[in-house]
Amino acid sequence: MISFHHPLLLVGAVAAVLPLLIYFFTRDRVAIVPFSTLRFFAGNSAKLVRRKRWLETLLLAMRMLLVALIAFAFARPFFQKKAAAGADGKTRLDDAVVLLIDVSQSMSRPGVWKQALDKADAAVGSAAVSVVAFDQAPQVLTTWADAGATRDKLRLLEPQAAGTDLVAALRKANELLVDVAAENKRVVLVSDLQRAGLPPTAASFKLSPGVGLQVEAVTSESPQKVAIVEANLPQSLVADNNPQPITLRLANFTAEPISNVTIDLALANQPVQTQTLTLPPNQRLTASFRATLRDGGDHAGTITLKTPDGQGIVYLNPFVLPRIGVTILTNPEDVARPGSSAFFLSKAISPGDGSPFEVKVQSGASPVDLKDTSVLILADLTEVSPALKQQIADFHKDGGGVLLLPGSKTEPAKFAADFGSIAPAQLRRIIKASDTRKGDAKALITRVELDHAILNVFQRPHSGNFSAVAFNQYWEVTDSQLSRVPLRLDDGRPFMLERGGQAGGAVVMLVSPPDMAWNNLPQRAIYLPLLHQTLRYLAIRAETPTTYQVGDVLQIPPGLKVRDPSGQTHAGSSIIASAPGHYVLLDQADKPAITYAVNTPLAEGDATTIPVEELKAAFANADTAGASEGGSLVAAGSRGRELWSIIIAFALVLVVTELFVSNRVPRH
Amino acid sequence: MAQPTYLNLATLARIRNLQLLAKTVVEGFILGLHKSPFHGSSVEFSEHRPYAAGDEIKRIDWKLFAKVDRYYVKQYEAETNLVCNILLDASASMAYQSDPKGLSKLQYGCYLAACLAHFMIGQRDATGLTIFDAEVRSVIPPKLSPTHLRRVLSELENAKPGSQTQVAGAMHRLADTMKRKGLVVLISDLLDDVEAIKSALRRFRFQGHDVIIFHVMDNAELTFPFDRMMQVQDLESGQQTLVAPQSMRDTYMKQLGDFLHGVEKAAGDVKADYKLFDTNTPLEIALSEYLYKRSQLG
Repeated sequence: MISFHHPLLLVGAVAAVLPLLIYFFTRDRVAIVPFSTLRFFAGNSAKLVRRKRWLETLLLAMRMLLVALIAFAFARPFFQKKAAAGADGKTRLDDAVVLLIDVSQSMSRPGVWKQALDKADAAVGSAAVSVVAFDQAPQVLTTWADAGATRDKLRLLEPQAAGTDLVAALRKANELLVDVAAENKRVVLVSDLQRAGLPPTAASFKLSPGVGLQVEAVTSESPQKVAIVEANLPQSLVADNNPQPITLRLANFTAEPISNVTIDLALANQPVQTQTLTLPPNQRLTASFRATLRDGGDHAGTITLKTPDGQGIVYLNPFVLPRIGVTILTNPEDVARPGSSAFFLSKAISPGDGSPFEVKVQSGASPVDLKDTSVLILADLTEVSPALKQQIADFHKDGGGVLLLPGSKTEPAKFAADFGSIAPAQLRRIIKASDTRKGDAKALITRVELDHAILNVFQRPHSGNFSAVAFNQYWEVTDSQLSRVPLRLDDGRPFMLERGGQAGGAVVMLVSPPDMAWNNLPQRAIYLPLLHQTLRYLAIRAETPTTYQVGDVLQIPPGLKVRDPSGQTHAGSSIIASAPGHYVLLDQADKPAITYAVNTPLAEGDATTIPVEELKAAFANADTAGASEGGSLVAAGSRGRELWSIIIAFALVLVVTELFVSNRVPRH
Repeated sequence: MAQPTYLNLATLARIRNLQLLAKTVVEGFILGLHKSPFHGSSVEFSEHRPYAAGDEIKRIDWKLFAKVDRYYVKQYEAETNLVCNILLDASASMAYQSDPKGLSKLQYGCYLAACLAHFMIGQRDATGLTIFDAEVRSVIPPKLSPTHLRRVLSELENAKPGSQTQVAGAMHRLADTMKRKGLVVLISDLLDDVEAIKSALRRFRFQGHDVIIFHVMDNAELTFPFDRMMQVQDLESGQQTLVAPQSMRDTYMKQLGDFLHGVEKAAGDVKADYKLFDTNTPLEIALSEYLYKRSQLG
């Protein structure tokens, strides 16, 4: 496809009629000459005249074409080949450019977006361009389109409220370029280059060899001075008398200290706490709030940052579970048997005045009442009817937490048949500690993953001694590769496994139940906090998250609706959170059921940028160093596709041909 | 009576000088151009023959009778009994005139015929004039008298271009009427079929005529000086054709050359004298060249 740098000059092609006019005004007027005879003109005259006329017509056409070509050349045409598929299935192009344009929230700062559009427009040039708009996720807008289509798409773009993921964008651009066969492949990145756009996993990614990187950085006319760049916001939690921490991280991006920075915390429309800070220059500061959340339900609130230059708002909604319903399913003979798992479990989580748990112990293979149950404990359960098996599966599918405690009566094959679909691992055999250790040595917990949500309360010194637990026997498990193992025994075998990465609620399995025949865990101090934390974790994981980011999908249960921050109501199965604020899920009576807090990624407020050279060093392939020089794209692309020089060459050939033909024309 | 315009005294004077020159070598064109095929009474004695019944008494040589006592009659070679027929082509093609200040072929032919008629009658040869195109338009039988010359010149004055050229047809018809041997002078551009012309010439020769062909061509016809595209219109048929002269010149000159060669060859085949006249060449020069050449050939 042909485009023009100066299309208006095509009007000059009208001058192509000049040779025609000159021809009509100056052509030979044929005079009638009486002569004595025509006998000596016989034969060649008509042929000659026909040849002369043909050659004159040819000359006229060549001259008109010549003038038109000159006008055409002045219009600076360039050729944009349509993408064509080669024999290998790859699209074939001369110059392939992926234009990555940042549409994250930070691009909406004053002056930034106009700069970005100008640079993107300049970068389009004459190459075949794929436009990829990106924030947290890349979106391909055009694939190897011409300049016109590309610019049309660019005009429709505007910054969104989402965060930035430069690596995902570069990966997408690389994928597009790998799928084409082109002499020049380049990625043009138009972005404000926020450092927050580079996740820690970025280091392992490089553009493919032959793919160049051109970076067009844009900057704000009035850069941000202060912002909340991180926040630890509680979501679903269990009612507790202890205050819950809410932590913020603020950054001062200027070289001057900023005083009178006020942070207001409000929950359920009530002001909770206000802090006034002075931020040192070019530094970050942590601000912490503590709020006691005793009441169950939503606690929708805001954290408002007020500075002399403006304000920012962070939305939150800690959803408080007033009680955790726990149902223990075990064999009938074990319900009241002292020393059994069910016995120790029921004792450990028996409701008291301050207990958040409500416990039901049920036996038998028949379906049980799981209403108000958040966590289901299967304590060495052997007889499971198909109906109960289906009930457990549905409970897990609906998000309920399950704690599996296989014991002495458990058979691996039956366990696999009954719970294999939800269990983090399959059982193989019972290992006695004495069989694999010298003397009467017991198995011990030696590896603790304190980063796990169940165990992070034990991070503080002297908060729990896992090595005090001695194991007489435990189940050896298989097929645990996809499960997380927060606790391991001294022989490396798992003690606690958590199934993750699949739909449904969380499932935790302990390969040695709290049974005195198996271990002394029930007698250790760590037993209660470990069990309680596990149950809290399973219960909270069962709750719907209440905090989201812009761009996330909010699920809408059947028959319910969601009211967005602007007051508009949405039905259907889901909506995309397009703006920050509180989204309220309404029940059939249009009463609020739960509130979702949606924020712009806080990292978008981080004005720290990545130097262009660092970005190129991080992502440009060493084999493509020459192609990564910025600013050369348009020129290179234009040179490759410019047609004017070809047209001029053709015009010169036409001139020579015209001279040759004109000398062959019989003059008279 | 007005002086006919065709008589250029200077031309005539020039030709007279040539005539005197030729007369000393051979029996020339104007005076004794051809040996007379007839015998008659004249001043030049030829021979005696016996008297026969019917001969005039006054022609008996009485001196010889006194010597030999027999009647003999003197015979003389005749000088003035040549009959000359001038055949002038007045077809439309003869009207061609490339130079507006010059002469058309017809005018040139008329001058030529006038000169010939003047000198023929001046040397007491009976001269006639026939003007033709496709048809014979006028015939003046050969006579020998001053008034006859004026009639011939008057007819030439009134000669106008006619229709298409059919030299051969006209010559055949004239041949039927010319019983007496003599000289036939054909003045024409000969734009006709060469073979047909040759056939007609052969018939004249067969009848015992001496034939002289004065082939009159316009200078433009011989040199083709045109240089611009033109629509050429045939003077006789009115037909037109577009001609690119520069491209056409070679072809034209070749065809013209073939034509002239064909005509000259035809004339040679029938033993006719042939002279090509260019209308740009002064008449006296053209005639004197011809007479000189003729005198050289003897």
